[in-house]
Amino acid sequence: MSEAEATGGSPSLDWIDPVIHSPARLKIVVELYVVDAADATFLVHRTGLTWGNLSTHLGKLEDAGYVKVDKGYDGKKPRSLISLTDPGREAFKEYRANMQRALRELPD
Amino acid sequence: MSNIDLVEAERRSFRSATDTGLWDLRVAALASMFAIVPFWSATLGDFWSALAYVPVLLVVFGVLRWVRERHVRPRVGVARFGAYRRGRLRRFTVVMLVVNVIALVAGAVAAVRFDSGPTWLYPFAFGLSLLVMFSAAAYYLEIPRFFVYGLLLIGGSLVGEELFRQGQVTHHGYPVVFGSSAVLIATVGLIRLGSILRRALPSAAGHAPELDDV
Repeated sequence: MSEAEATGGSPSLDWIDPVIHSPARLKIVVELYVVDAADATFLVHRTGLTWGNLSTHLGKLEDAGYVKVDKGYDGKKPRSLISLTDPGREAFKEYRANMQRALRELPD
Repeated sequence: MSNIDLVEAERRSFRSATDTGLWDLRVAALASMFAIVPFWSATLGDFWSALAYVPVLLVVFGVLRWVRERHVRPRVGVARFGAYRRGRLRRFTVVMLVVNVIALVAGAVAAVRFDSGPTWLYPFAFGLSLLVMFSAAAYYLEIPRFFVYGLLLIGGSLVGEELFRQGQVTHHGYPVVFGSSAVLIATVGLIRLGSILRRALPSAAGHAPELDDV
């Protein structure tokens, strides 16, 4: 019996990670998942977020331990490279699996 | 959500970082070499005339590098790709090396063994090697229009040879074929580059100041 059947038709979504589930953060995590690291300009361009939004959402992802920001220099210019941490990668894999499971268990 | 295609996402990210029009401009610069050098070979010979063009290429490549660092990177950003992409680029380098060596050896052998005037073999073999190189570039760099460039150059080589045989062009048609190809490829590159340069810079300093506080 699936969870949806056990709970009378509504699957529990408790195991959906709320940190990743926000559309803006999901875009950021997907972009970071497919690269080793990227700078903020790349992420702004790829996600379509504003600088302020990106900064806010990266802060939340960093607080959750999912991303890290390595501050460095490219020549004389500051360039921070952002990447997913190992727990961040694992959390995204788990999030994908959980979402697939949730979609499978949605009632018709 | 189950439809997030991570392979496609990686491909789009890679193209976003690399397909900036600069590759087209580099290819156009190389094609222009084949258009201009034949005019010098009568006085300098094939080898020295090609060598004389190297400084021109170095200047063009230097300018393109400057454009990339000062104008493209601040707008496109920087991404480091993973093992899959690095492996793909390594294979691309090996394929290009092998094709170039084979083309050079074949060219040298043909020059020694078949030194009896132009034949269809030369333009066909030359165009074929270009087609293989551009196909490899299209596949490994995921820029499909490079395959079209390869077709353009092999087709152009054969048309140029035919026009040369009819006495309508000089130098086996190279100046016409490669000159027009270079202009076409450079135009595509400039359009692509222009679309990127129209993007606003993230800040006057070329980075996102807010993110220094993340």
